[in-house]
Amino acid sequence: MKDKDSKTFSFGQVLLALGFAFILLAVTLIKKIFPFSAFEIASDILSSALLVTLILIVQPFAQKFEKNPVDGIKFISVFLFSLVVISFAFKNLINIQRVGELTTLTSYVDIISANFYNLIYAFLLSIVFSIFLKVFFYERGKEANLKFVVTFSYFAIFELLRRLFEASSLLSLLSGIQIILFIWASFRIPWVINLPKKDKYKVLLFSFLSVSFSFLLQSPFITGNAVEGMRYYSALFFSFTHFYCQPFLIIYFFFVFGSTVFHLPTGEIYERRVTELSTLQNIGKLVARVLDIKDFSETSVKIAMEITNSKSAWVEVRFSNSAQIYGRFGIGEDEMLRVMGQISHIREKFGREYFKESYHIEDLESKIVLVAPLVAHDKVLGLLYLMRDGKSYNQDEINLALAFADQIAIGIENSRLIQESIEKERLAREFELARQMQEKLLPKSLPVSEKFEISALSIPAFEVGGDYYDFVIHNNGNISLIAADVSGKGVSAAFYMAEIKGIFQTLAKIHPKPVDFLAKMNDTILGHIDKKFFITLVYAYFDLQRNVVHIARAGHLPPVLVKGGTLKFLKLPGASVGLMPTHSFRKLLKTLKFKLEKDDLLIFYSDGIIEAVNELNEEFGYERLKKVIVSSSDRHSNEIVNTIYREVINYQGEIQQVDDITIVAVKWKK
Amino acid sequence: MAKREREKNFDVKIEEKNSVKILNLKGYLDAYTSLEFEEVMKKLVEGGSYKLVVNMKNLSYISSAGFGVFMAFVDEVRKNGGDIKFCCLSEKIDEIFELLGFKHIFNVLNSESEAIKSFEKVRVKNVKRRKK
Repeated sequence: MKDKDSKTFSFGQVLLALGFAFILLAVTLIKKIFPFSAFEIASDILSSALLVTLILIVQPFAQKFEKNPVDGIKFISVFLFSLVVISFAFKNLINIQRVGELTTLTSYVDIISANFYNLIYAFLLSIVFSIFLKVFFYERGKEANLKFVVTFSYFAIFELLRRLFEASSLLSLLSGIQIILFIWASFRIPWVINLPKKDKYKVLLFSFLSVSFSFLLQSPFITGNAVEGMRYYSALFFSFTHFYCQPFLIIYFFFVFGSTVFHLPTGEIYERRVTELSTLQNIGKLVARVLDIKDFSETSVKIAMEITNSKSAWVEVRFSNSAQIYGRFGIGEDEMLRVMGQISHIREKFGREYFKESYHIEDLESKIVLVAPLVAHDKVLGLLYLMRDGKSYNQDEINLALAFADQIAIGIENSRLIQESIEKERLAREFELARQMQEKLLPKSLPVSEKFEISALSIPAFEVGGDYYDFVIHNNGNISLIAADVSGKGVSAAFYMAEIKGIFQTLAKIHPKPVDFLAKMNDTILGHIDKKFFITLVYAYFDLQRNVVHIARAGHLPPVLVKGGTLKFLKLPGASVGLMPTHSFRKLLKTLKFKLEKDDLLIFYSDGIIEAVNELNEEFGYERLKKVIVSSSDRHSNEIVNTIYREVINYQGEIQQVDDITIVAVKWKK
Repeated sequence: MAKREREKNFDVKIEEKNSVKILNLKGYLDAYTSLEFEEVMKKLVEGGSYKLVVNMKNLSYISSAGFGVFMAFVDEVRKNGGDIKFCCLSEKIDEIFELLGFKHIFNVLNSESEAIKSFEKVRVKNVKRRKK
């Protein structure tokens, strides 16, 4: 038996069994001549060895029933039937005679046929017993092992005692205990409960047959002289069959029968559970696969309706501020709306924090409506409605409805999350594109002159804020500088930046003076871009011959001027470009014109600096900017820009940069 | 982890006083929340509400995209004899209004009642004009 793969009977074992059978034949024949008790013991030992060998031989066959008790019982009853037939057949083939107290077989022919009978009997019994053990231990743990060992040991001890003492009253008491032990061992039959109904009927039939055949095998009417043949063959074998095997089978199968009858009604529930489970599993798969809310909610609503025995069903999915009906079955739209109207007070309650009901059943005239919320992450995403006439929903159906509601909720949530991640991905790519655009739009190199040093830095936020700076070098060597911020974010901002670049590069050359340029720019832009957009900018025109700068501000943050050691915010009047008609816009503008001297410092910056917040949500503000500029104003423009940027970054700490940060510093050298 | 961004909460509550819709803004009106706010404005304007007072008392922040929302609707509102007026700006937001030049295109008032009243004046003016 160690080689579990061997499916065929081992030849060696068969030879061994035949050997035992042959020796037994010899012993029984000798016994006829010399009826010594030593031969009785020899035949008992031999028959035991034969039975054990036969049991080993049939193991591969019995193995098939290890996890299949229903077929096991079927085969047991079939083999028991063959035992009955054989016993009945040999009944008349074996003749007995009584010599005083002793019953022996009449002739040697009888002994030989008794040997045949017993050999076949033992073979069939070994099959029955082996299968029986598989059925007995099926789905049972160690307690079954213990119980089996106890019943068998008890049998062995009992047999031993029987040989030693022949007190019959004690014997009947002891055999009574054996019966009790069988009952104790057979008490739990777990596999019956979960059988499908069809199998339960089979089990009922075959356990009944097994009990009946076992009874027949016990009855002298069927077995008659064959029993005497067995007793003569080996008294122990007789005991094993008649006092151990058959009573055990009768009691065990009686319990199987009873237990099956008892659990027959649960068969239906079990079958339904299986369908439910597999349906839910399918829905689960569906949810994972189908991302379209409509698609899978329709499928699941339909199944939910069928499995809860409802007549109509639909699901109401709530989005931020609207509701959508999906998967309406078995009900017209008008009636559905009417029903929903009738229970609108309940619909509203779901999702409110104080509302603790996990479902609601409403009795509407003749119709029963079951409302189950679709809950995901503690949020009510919608409601599942199931409706039927008359009969209210039982707990089972309610649980099912809730399970389906959960599945639909998960599906909706998944679909939403996926949409969201697609959207996020799209946005991330858009921002990446915008960043690339912005990078390309910013000047590659800065103007170099012996008159001034100029440094610039622009760090886009993740979402790209629309900061832009640029230069135009005029034919006479003068320089126009622009620092701008386009409203909005992402690609649209980058798009408008591109437009401004075009406008700036062309218009500034024709209209180098601030007011002229800005007015032209407003003209160009107003009415040609989306009403929502506007541009703030500072425009500075550096006249290098005269060492004069002309500055105008159109809505942008006031540039900083450090002159003679004092810092000033140049709060020049002026509105953003693109807000108002040019005549009004132009009226508001005012150019500041002043002479530039050595160490004069002009700083242009974007709102990303002023509005940068720290962990306490406090803005960087003008004061801090002022301080950092004052402290660094005597350094190189490049260092000034970097110092300001570092200061802002340190101030932000762990907080993410929300807006672009742009700093342009111009420091006069002569 | 929660420090990643400042809170992006925004809320708008609408009430009606003397046929003027008062929009009480609260929180952060930035590039994201302005999308939501644009929907609110759209519904109001499409629903025929043209006299709008935007109360910014509880508004903590407004970005250029936030201003863009008002820009998007102001022409239509004015075409229909209404206006968008602002009141109760915090010092910081008032400064932004000033810098951007919004005070030149929008009427900014100190209190809600003043803003509502300013609509009445227009009505009176119109009546007078018609009488003449």
